[in-house]
Amino acid sequence: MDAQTARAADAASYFLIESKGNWAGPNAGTFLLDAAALAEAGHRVRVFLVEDGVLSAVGTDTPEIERLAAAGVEILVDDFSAAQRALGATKLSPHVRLAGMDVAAAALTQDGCRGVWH
Amino acid sequence: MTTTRTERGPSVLCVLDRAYRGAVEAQFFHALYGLLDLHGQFERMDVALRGAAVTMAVEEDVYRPSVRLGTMVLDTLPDYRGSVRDLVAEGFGVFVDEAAVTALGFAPEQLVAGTTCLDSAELAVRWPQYDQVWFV
Amino acid sequence: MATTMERRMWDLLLILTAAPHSSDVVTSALRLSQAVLDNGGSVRVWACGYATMMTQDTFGDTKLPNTRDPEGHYPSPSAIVQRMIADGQGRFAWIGCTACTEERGATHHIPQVRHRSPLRLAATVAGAKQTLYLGGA
Repeated sequence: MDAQTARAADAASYFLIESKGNWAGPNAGTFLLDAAALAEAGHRVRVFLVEDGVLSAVGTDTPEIERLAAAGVEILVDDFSAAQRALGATKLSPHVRLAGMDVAAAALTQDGCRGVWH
Repeated sequence: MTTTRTERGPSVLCVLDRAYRGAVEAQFFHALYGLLDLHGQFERMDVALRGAAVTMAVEEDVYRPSVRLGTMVLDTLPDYRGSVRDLVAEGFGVFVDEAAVTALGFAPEQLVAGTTCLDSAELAVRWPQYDQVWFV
Repeated sequence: MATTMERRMWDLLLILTAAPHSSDVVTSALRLSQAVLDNGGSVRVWACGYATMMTQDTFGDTKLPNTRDPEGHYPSPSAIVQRMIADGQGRFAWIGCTACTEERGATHHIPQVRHRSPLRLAATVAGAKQTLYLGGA
């Protein structure tokens, strides 16, 4: 086993909220790579895209989204932020799904869930 | 003796490249409202939407400018598309950056009627037509 | 005889340091708060930086008039927070960081705001099951 890989018993559960993303400026999207690295190390990772972060879900070939999906990360897109930005009029990655803030609330109040906001 | 100032301000191109700067706290008081409210003071005022701000000019029918907080339904959140339509109706030139529109998977035909989808470089070479350029 | 004092644990603490009118972070924070409240949970907001502006009593109940809709009703940020605190019936609370409050000169909070020194930040974090830091001050 890779020394960097968490054993099942040590694996943490992360709920990572991305409010900036690739459209918010240089390096703003790096947080999604942090998420991918955690998932690839064996931790449970869920990502919630909100505000300008939802723009990272646009299109079918965003490298960060592809890498997250390959690592088994569940990628949620805030429905309010998506509607605000007219994303119903464009194509989102097949790896994401729209979710309400209630999903974020439920996840963050689960025992053992570690939340991080970017 | 009293004097009345009737002098109008310069012609200005306002470039908006940061959108969505407050909903609950801002409500009507967002950047496009400011332009609508003030443009009568100026000889001419046009707007260019760039980056994520181009989404404010994309027509759609899902967004409702409303959120429930406690027992309050706050239905006065910004209506950006409505404001873009108002800009057009009130004589602003509204330019929307083509590169951002296409990068976000939209087609120029999806933009609010009366706006102009324009290449970034083409917009820059129009700067000399204005007395001032403001990034708002 | 030693006694133990039971400490209240909040479900979610939001350390809100990003400024209003800078992004939609305040809206997201309040939407998330409401979702937790709807789920039966409890939420505390610790307002730092210019987020301390949200609860200034100088706003009054309504925003400035909308020149394009002079008859419209637009509640002020402090009125919205006040309403959420009242509706939350003890499950929604707002703390104003005293240092940021002083630093910004934003010292006139509505009475529902609890004033806390940043020296009590760690204790406040320890009083919550989940903490999110919404940076940007």
